Parts: sequence; structure tokens; C-alpha cells
Amino acid sequence: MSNENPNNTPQWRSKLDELEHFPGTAFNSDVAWDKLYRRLQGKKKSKKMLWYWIAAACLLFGLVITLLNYHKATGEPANKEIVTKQYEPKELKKPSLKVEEVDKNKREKESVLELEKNIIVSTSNKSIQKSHHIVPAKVLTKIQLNDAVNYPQQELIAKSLQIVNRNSTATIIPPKKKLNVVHINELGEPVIETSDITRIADMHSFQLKFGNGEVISTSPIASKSSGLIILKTKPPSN
Amino acid sequence: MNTSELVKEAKQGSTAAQKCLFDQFADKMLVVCQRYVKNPEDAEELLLDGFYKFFTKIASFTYQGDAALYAWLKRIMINECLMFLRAKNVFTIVTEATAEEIPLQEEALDNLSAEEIFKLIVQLPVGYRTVFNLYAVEGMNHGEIAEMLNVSEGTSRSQFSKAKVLLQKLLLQNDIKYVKRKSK
Repeated sequence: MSNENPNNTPQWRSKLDELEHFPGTAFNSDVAWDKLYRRLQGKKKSKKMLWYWIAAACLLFGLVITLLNYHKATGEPANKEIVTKQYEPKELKKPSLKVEEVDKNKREKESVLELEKNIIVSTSNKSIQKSHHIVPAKVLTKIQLNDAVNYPQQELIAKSLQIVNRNSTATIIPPKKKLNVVHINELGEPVIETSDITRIADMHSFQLKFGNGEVISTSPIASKSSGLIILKTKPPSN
Repeated sequence: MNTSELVKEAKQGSTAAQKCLFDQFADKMLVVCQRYVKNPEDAEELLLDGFYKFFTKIASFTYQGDAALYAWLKRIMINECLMFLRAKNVFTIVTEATAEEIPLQEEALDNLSAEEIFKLIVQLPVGYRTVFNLYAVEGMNHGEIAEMLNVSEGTSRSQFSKAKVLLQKLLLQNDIKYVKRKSK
């Protein structure tokens, strides 16, 4: 028997192909068609449903993006307001009131003009003691609106302003820078600083004896702090 | 309406054309399915599966005559049947290296009617029947059959040989009956 199939078709095979009905079984083609039709329609419906689902998903996606954008757009001003309310010190309004008091005392022209640029608030009752430059209240509030990080600085200013109102004087004390004061005592004896840093071991005094009995002695000096040696003469002790 | 027009309209999604094509080929295709799958319910289900695939893939089909359409449809049905049998794991056949060379008595088959041949084939066990159908009826070679059933070529040969032996036994029985019937 060869592997290749013979080309000549035997009679029995063509007979088998012509067979149209399986003997002994009843096949109802209408019922079978109904089943098939339902399956075909179901497939069409499922295709349609798939498109509906895709459309719904796209719609939902778009809606979510729109909502997110909306929240982003509306969220920032709301936050600003909250910050302003939280950190706005009440005392900030008082400088303007102070200015009003000054106005009442008929020093409007001076104060207002100076306030517009750099407000100079002066005392109302006494003569002018000091004048300080302060930032106008409006500017301060603007800063607060825009930047909440500046809160500690603003608070400082606000506190200082509070003091001004109590004493009815506008004194804003700028932070003083401590400078080292050097005292130069040109007259009299030199002052030897006995600072904590100078140790006793560093203090030296010495005497010089000459042949004629003259003694020269030094007062104790700190070797590190001073390079000046003052010699005193004593008469020879006989 | 001829088959060409029916195919054209079925491609456009006409239900009426699809129904006409189904009515035209359903009986023949059911016979094909029942040659592979003995159970009538399974065969009918496979017929519907085959037509479903046919109508869903008809857009890719180019009509080149009724014979081509019949061959394509038949091929779809056979594939469906083989898939069904493969799913049932009926092709786990032990390979036999040496297959007996037994010539098929085709003359004896020629003397039988189509129905009698059909009944003989259906009586074969599923493995023999499948290989016999593919080789003797569909005209495939053992290489193709081995590839389709995912078995070795030797297995396909041995299955066909055994199918022939069994068929001859059945033919002898039928021949006796046929002789008896003739003598009466």
C-alpha cells in the first residue's frame, strides 16, 4: 500500500458524497436554522454591546478628566482664601487706625505722604522721638495673600505694631546689631582685662634688678592679650 | 437565485441568503459530520458550529463555483469534527511500528449502496473511522493525517490497516447477508 492516495476516485466514494440524508435520523433544518440564527444575532448584539461599552468607557474617562481639571482650576483660589483667613493677624489693621489718629491730630499731610511711600508714624502726644519706616498695611495683606510662607516675618511686624498702639507711639525697633565696643583708655593705667579666657598661668610679672640696687618690676600682664609692658622703677631698698 | 448571488448577499449580511445557503448544504454537511461523530446530537451541534464559522468568515471567501464552496464548507465541518474529537482525547493511540498491509476490497464496496457504506464506516471505532474517513474518503495522505491528528505517520498507517481489516470482516458479514437476501 502506498502512502499517496490514488487519484482515481472509486465508485463507492462518489456514492458516499452523494448521500444527502443519514438513514434513520430526522433532521429538522428549520429548528437547526433557528438555533443558528439566534447565535448569529447574539454575535451581532455582542458586537454592538462591545461598541456601547467602549463608548461608555470613553465618556466616563472624559468626564473624569474634566472633573479633575475643574477641581484643579477651582481648587487654588479656595486654598488662598483659607490661608488668608488662617494667617491674617488682626493687629494688621491697627496701623491704618493709627494713621487715622494721626490724621485727627492734624498731621495728615506729613503722615499720609510718608505712608504712601514708606510710612513714617510719629507720636501724637509727645514730640517726635523716633521715626521708623514700616511697610503699609495694604502691602502686607497682599503679601499674605500671595505667600503664606512669610507668616513669621509678618507676625513679627504685627507684634511690633501692637506695641506701638499700646504706647500710642509708632516705634518699630529694628533688631540691633551688637558691635564690639573697644575702650581705649589713653590716660591713666592700662586696664588689664581679666577675661575668662585669660588663664592665671598666662599672667606674668617679673622684676629686674640692676647692679646699683634699682629694681624694675612689672605689673601682671596677660601674655596673649597684650604686648605692652609698663615698667615701674623702685628705689633700691637699703 | 443562484449560489453565487446567495454568497454575495450573505456576505452583505442578508439573513434570507444565509437561510437559503443553510437549507442547500445542511443535509449534506450533517452526513459529513455524522461520518466522523457517531452521536446525532453532537453531529448536529457540530453542524451548527460549522455553519456559524462559515457565515462569520464568509467575507473572506471568494466564490469560484459550487464545488469550491462545497469543498470549503466540507473542510470547515471536518475541522470542527476533528477539534471535537481532539477535545475528547480520542487520538491517544499507541503507535505500532509494523502495520499489516491489507488491500482494501474496493470492488466489494462498489457493490454496496451509499447507505450501506455509510453504516459500515460508522460501525468502526473512532480512531479507525477518523483515519479511514480522512484517507479513503477525503483523499488525504498519511503525512497530512498525522499532522492533523497530531499523531505519527506510522500510527495513521496502522489505524488505516486495522480499519480495513475490520471493514472486510463487516463486508463479509454483509456479503453473507446480501447473499442470503439474494437467495431468498
